[in-house]
Amino acid sequence: MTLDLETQLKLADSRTKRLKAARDEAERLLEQKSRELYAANSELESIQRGLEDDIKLATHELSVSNQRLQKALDERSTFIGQMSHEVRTPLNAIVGLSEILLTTDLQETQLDYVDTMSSAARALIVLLNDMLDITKIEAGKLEIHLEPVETKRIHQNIISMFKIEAESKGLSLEMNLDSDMPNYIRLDKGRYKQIVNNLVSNALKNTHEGVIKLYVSYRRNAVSEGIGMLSVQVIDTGVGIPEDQLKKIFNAYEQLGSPDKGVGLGLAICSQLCSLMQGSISCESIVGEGSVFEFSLPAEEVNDAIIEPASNGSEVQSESAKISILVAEDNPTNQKVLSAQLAQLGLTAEIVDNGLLAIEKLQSQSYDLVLLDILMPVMDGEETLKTIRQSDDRIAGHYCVALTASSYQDQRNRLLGLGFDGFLSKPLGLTELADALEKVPASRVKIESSSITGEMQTIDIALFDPSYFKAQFGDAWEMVFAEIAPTFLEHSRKHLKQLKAAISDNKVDHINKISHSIKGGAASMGQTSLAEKLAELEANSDSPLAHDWIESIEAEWSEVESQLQIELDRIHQG
Amino acid sequence: MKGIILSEFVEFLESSLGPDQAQIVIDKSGVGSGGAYSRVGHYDYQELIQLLTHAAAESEIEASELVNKFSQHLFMVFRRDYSVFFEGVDSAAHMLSQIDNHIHVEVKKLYPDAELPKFEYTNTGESLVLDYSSPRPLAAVAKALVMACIQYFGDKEKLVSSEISEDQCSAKFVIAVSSN
Repeated sequence: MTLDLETQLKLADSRTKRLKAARDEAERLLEQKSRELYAANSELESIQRGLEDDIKLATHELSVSNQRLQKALDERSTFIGQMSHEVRTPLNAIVGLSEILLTTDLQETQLDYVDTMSSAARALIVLLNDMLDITKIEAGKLEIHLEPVETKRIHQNIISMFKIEAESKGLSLEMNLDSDMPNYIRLDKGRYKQIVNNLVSNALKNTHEGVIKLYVSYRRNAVSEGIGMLSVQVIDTGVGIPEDQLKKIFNAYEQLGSPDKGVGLGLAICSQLCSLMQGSISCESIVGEGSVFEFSLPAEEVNDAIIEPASNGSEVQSESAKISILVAEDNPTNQKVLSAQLAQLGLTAEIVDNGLLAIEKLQSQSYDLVLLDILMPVMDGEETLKTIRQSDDRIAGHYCVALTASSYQDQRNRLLGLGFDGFLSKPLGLTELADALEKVPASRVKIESSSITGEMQTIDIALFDPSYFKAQFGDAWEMVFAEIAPTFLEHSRKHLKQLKAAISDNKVDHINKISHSIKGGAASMGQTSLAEKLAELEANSDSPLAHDWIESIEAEWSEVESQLQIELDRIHQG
Repeated sequence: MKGIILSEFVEFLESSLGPDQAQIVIDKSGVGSGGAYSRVGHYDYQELIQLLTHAAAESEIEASELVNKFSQHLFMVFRRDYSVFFEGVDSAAHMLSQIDNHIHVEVKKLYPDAELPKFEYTNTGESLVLDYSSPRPLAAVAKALVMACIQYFGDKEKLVSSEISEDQCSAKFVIAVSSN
């Protein structure tokens, strides 16, 4: 069908108009849709703004109430801290004096009274410490301090601590350390012991017959080398815990709520300490059969090689270790307690009433240990320490320990940061005091040397190790040894005397040269330990610690001297 | 009725009859919109029937034949412009069974005022029974679209029966599902 031109043009025109109309319609609809979208979007934005405002407001309100709560919490924490300070001073007197009273000549009933008084006071201290611990943990003030801990020793110490109590109750106390256990792991020693002690002590309290077992195991992490999980189980055959109580035993406030059934705050502290160390604690129990407490902590292994030889544990100091002590303490009761406690350890101290008097004493005399109470009239402990540290070398080098009724960790850190060498918190027990005395550099030297002498007397054979000479000189070593040992001994004896004189005259140059000379001889004789000590002195000839080091060197020397002499005698006799 | 059906019908007319013949059909049909359809617009479904009737008369092609051809055209437009609905779909039965639950759900989001027909289905495993119902008497168009769909997926399935109601507003289609 063909159309004429006019019709075709008309159709084309209609078609164009139709297409244009369709386009206009599409544009109109598009714009309408856009407006709808715009309106919907605006509404959404406004809703979002409203929500954001709500959140801001709620956040602000929360932050205000949080600040208020934090302030209240801080005030409570400060209050408890101050209260404990107030309570500790009289407790100090009760604990210390009753302990001393127990060692005097008492009638049996008197002994009984004092014993009860002493344990009641100790119980009060435990409660006070527990309360402080809970407060500190909750206030986030308790910090974890990791250090290498010898696994065997720490658990043996714990067991020996409870052995007497267990035996007196007719209970057997067993320990099993996993054979996979590393020799050293990194732990907060004090806090770890606190948990284990608490669990063992509870087990003892609640068990009347049978056995208490301490199982310790270590599971190495399969992926990361050097880390693992330390698990401790304390198993008893005691009275057990009813199921409804099991859930509550780790909650401090529920424990406080039922004093007749409660087990004190100890387990709550254990649980909080475990959490603080990223670990966990749990308990399973059957009434009448016993309980199993188990806790696990992540722990890092420590390479044995980097551990320094451990000191002599925490046994009460032997009477032979005499050290000179100066005490600055204003409270006459505390003075009396402290001097009596020192007397128990076979020590005496010079006691002055305040820091200023202590400074005066130090100007005329040196002491191995200066114990400074922090709160004192005239010159307090901190001021005294500052004065000591700013004085001339002889006075500044004193080993100073702070004595305070506050045991807050931050207080301890603050005082150690000020330059105190140690920290003791009151009320002071004999063991804590003895532990602190062990750490005094001069006394450690003496204890070590005396223990070495003890060994020499009991062991009949020569301790001299000839491997160095054998390696150097083969079969002829005895001949060479017999040739050079007497010369070394003679020269060293002479030089050591000179070295001591140089140290007491503080002739730095001499100290340096002489220690260098003896060091060379000692190294040639294969006496590396002695040589190392001398090298340290040589490198730090001007150190105020030189007095301490020479004592250590002398101790080592006397050991070397006897060894060499015995060996010489043996060779000559042979 | 959604504009896309009508605008595509005009496209179909122009391509099959030529622009001039298509314009003649539109003019003679006297549709209210003048045939100026936009895809996104909304129009009276009667206009589709008017256009179809006049196209059949003008071209001397059977109306049913025109509907079938248009349905094939429309199905390919769907395939081209809405390919997202074809993803992972490998048979006509699969495609038809997701009209109500998937495709029309999405259409409703975009055009809340759209009046869509219903495609309810029952799958017996051997056959798919499709129940069509619409406020508009367009069951024939629905049937043609079903057949276009089967053809698109390679004629593996077969429309074995179709019952269309008298008012053309509902129908039942039975599709034999291929066994492979």
